[in-house]
Amino acid sequence: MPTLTTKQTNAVINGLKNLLADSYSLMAQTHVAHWNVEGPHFFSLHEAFQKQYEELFEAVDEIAERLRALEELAPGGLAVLAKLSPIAELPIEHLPAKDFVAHLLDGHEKLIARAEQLREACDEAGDLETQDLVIGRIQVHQKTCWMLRSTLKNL
Amino acid sequence: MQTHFFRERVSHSTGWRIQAAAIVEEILPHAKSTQVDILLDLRSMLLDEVTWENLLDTFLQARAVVEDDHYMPFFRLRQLLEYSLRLEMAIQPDTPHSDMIRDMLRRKFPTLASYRRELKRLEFELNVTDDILSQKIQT
Repeated sequence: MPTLTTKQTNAVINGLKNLLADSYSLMAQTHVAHWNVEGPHFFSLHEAFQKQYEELFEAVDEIAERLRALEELAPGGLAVLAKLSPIAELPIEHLPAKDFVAHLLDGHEKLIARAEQLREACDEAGDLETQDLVIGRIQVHQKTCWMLRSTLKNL
Repeated sequence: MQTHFFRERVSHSTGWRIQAAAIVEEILPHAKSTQVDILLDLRSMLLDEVTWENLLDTFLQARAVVEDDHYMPFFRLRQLLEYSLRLEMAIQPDTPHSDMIRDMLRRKFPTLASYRRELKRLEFELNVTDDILSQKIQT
């Protein structure tokens, strides 16, 4: 089995840190949406957002533990993770329910784009275990995107 | 797929306008025949670097006709316009308070003229000046 180069390993490690930051950011944004969404669709969106942030909470733990398994420290703290993630924060104001859904959908799409780069980096590094985790995460986010897009059509 | 028109004009436009025009370009193949003209106008105005007033007015008109069918692209356009037009307005003299652009985009005005009429009405009713109107209008 060929030995991994430092460059390949770094790409996987940095990609995992980004995935952790994006997932954490999205979890926080989804939690805010769960609290602040308003309107006739409140109950269904409130519950849907809760399921999503609970799923993300478990994912964050899994990603951080993968970093530890690779002998790396997991980044943490709101300020540190915010710097690592391009996902924008939801404005704290009264917004149409559609804007909460659109904002989260945008965040999931940004996460998927970076996770796909990580999936490729894992492939080049021959790190199948991390790749398996990343593929699983991409599938979850793609499914969430589908649900959010479908929700947008009916709001 | 970007059209020849788009590629030809891109070299003359600033970054955020190219990004916004690309979003409009993606909507076009899926737009209804009644939506095409206003989308073409919006794309031209983005790439031709017209003044913020003309651009915003066309955006509001396009939004009124197209947004319900293409919410995500218009959500992204709104975010781009809100951030970028505020910066453009901030460096130009004799423009309204740049915070107003945010309010204008959050609420669904069909034209710039209708937003201005609303401002005048509030100015009269609340007896306030332009400077604090952007705060008052939120309430």
